Amino acid sequence: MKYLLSLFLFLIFDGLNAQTVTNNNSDLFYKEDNSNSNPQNNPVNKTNNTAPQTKKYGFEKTNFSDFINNNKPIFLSGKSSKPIKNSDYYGNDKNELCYNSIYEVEDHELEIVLLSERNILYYSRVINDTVIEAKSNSRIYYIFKKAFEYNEISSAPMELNDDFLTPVNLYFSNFKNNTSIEQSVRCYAKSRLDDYSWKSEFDKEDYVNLVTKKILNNLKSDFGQNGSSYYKIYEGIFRNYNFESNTYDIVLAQQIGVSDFFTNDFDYRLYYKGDRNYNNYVQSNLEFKCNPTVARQIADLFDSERKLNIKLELIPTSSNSNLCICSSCYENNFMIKSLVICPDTNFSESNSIQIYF
Amino acid sequence: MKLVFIFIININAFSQSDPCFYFQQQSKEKLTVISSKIEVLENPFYLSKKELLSIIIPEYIMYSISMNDLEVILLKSNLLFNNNNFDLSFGPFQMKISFILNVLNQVPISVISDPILLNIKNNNSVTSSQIDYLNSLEVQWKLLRLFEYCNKKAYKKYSLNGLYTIYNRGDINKKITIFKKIRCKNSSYEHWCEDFLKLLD
Repeated sequence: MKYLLSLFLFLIFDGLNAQTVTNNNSDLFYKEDNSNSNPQNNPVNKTNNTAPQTKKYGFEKTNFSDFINNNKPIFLSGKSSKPIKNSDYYGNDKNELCYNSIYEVEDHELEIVLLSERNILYYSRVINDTVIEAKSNSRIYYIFKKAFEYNEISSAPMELNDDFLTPVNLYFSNFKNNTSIEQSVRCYAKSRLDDYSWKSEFDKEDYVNLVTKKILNNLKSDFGQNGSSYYKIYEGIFRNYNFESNTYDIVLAQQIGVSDFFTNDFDYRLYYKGDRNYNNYVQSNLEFKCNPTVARQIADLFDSERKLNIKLELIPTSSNSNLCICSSCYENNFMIKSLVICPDTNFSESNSIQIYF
Repeated sequence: MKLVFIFIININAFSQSDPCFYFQQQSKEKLTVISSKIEVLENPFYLSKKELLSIIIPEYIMYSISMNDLEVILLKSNLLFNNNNFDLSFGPFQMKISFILNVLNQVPISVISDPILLNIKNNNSVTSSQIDYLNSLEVQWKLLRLFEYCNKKAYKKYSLNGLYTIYNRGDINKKITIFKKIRCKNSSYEHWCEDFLKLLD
């Protein structure tokens, strides 16, 4: 009886152990069920995969094997160290940047892919030693090996990149002590990751947890906003100087540059101190005060169209609004500290005029 | 001097108002290259060389060598694994395999002088090893001539415009769509063919 009980306990323990092993193998990146796939169509036989299943985040940029053998999803990174212009491929005078080495097929035609496209890709098959096929929902992508060298592909979504999180951290740092901060962060992470076509809701949930945890950890530590610079550069067209109010009104015609902080797509609003110290929201134009002597100096810099480059130097300001929870209200606020006005984009002291608000 | 100044001002004003100005300027170089290349190629059956060229010219203008390299790789790979559903357009005139087979099926054997094209017609299939051959400008020109040959009736009824439609969409009755490869303005394939034909003249 004693032996039988021992045997029974051993079997239960063994079963639990087996369950644990299985759970360890169920990676954040799971294996696709390839049981129905035709091995002839696939030069790399995934069903006979001998790659160690415990290998997790060791994604090598120039190595396809992890992505292929372990069927980890990969992500379009939203950037490229060698982007191409779509105007070189399509009759288009607009210059939009695209991935250098990623293509997709649409209507029997190969197309280049805009850098703004975010997507999750799952391995499909090897085409040859330089190209692989990946799928996302019903879309088919072809990825050259070079895409890994050019940082166009990432093993994690861009929402986990420190660069991407810089403006996110700034926003949430305004509400560090709010009791709903965790709920708000989680909701933000979820809304971002909802944009990907996940094959598994469990993968998505894992990443929502990771992103949430990373943002909350960043809030606890000093996440390094001190070194950030905040500016935007516009081509501005000056309207006539108003001699009664001593003001210039500028139309911000075209954005021609931003500091690194603004390269990510986290929303923001710009304000400046206007008449009677009211905070004015910057849309397509702004008004500033200056005496007639400075106004004349500015006018001397005009070209025939009264165009000048304007650098808006910004400082982050604590949000007056409440903590955003599960809506489209996540945005940073900035005040314009000063304007630097210059005929070129060097903004050298000798050739520019600075106006403080 | 005054006239030169006015001319420069006009060009500048025009370039700002026409969203396709720079694209058309760049296209002119490609048109010069292709015009000289086809001089040595066989004459069409009933069209002039420029007219025949105009059928494919929007595709040729948008042809990219780097993208074509990938198209060829993908086609070869798919044919190797008998995936005949993968019907990507390729080559300087961006022909699909289904288009090539369709043209070869329609023309009588007596019209085809090329042994490899004859072989494709007889087998009614393209092999992976034949893709490089079909990818050349000279062979795609041969195929274009055969397309011209088997669409003589359509030409008589609908003129060049009918050939543009059939080349682009496979059927004269398919409704007009925007040619998405040229994005500076929304125009149909037929419209671009007509525009480029004027530039060829």
